Amino acid sequence: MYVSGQVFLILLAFLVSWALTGVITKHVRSARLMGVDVHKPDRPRIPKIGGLAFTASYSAAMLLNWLMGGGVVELVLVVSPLIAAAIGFLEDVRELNPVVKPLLLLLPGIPVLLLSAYNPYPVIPLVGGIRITLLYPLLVLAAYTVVANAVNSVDVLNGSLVLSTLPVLLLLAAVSWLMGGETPALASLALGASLLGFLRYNWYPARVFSGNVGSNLVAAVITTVAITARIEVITLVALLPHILNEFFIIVSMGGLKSGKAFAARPIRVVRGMIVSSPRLGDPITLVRLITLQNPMGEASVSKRMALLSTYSSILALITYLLGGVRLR
Amino acid sequence: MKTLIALITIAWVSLIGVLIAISTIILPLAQGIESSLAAGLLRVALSLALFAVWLVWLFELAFYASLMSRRGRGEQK
Repeated sequence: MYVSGQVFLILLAFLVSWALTGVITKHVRSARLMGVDVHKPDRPRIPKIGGLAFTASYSAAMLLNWLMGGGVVELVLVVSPLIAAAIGFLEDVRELNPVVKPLLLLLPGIPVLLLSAYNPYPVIPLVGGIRITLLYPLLVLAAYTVVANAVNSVDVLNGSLVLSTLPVLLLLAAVSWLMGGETPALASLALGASLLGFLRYNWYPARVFSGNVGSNLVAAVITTVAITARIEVITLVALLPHILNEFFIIVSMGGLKSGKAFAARPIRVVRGMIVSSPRLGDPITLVRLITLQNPMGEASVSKRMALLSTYSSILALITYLLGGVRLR
Repeated sequence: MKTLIALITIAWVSLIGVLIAISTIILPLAQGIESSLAAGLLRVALSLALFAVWLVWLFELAFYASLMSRRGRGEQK
């Protein structure tokens, strides 16, 4: 596709996301679709399905891209994220069992496997090409559930989902493009533009949350881009803050459990400031570690999450550049 | 914030170390095995084991970073 066509799709994604997020913010009032912003003194109730807006804008842009002569890669970049978003929406309207949820999140990987949109010979930086034809399909399935939980675990503050994933999406777009993956690069930029449109309403003080529908879509796009552009290890490095956060939570809570089932919280809100919990046994999270030394406002914590994500994305770029080095 | 930057840097450097170890130790180790299936299984099993050690290492880092910060604030109970 011509560059002008790609720019049109990216602009379309931004505008549709902006407009639809505004509609959701103003018109969604059903109690089931509202969530409490627990970090504000007055604990306002706001719509929690804002992710539907950027799911629609991203899907529309990538569907148009597929209709204009796309193949298997273009198709899975629409279908897999949509399956993940549908599972997220299901969780937004009814609580899912914390063991069933990771199993359901294996489903977005199935179109990738059925349509053979993967290459079981990944190129690992410093190692080179390896052949894992039996293991790779299992890793594809597992990747969706791991990344979905990791991305979901940072969607805890106003703007944190967008700010912590934008640097990763820009990195993925650049590296995909450098490796000749035009469509994965377009998908990353279309999602980035959609998230910017959503940020207008999600930035502090937020008037809408993304919900699981939004975080699952973001995670599934990142995973599908990593698989189709063959940049798995580079994506792993870019997502280090997200993966570390998920890992801290799982280990400090003793397994896959719903956060709602625990009285212990990693942070407290004191006079509008986020304060790290002083208790040893409380869960360890990224936000808790960021606020360990000093209490901070919610927006400041989100900006620091963006800084960490930018730093890990730079490390991912260095990892990509190391890809030219072969030790064997 | 400095703790987290350090944590991410150590995580990245240790991941690079794992990749170097796979490349220079584990893959050549399996070259002497005649059966290609056994060699392949050995490579995958050892690489995954090394990766699991890396994940455990990450949690230990975070836990001790959290402990040290609390000691610095005199809140150790």
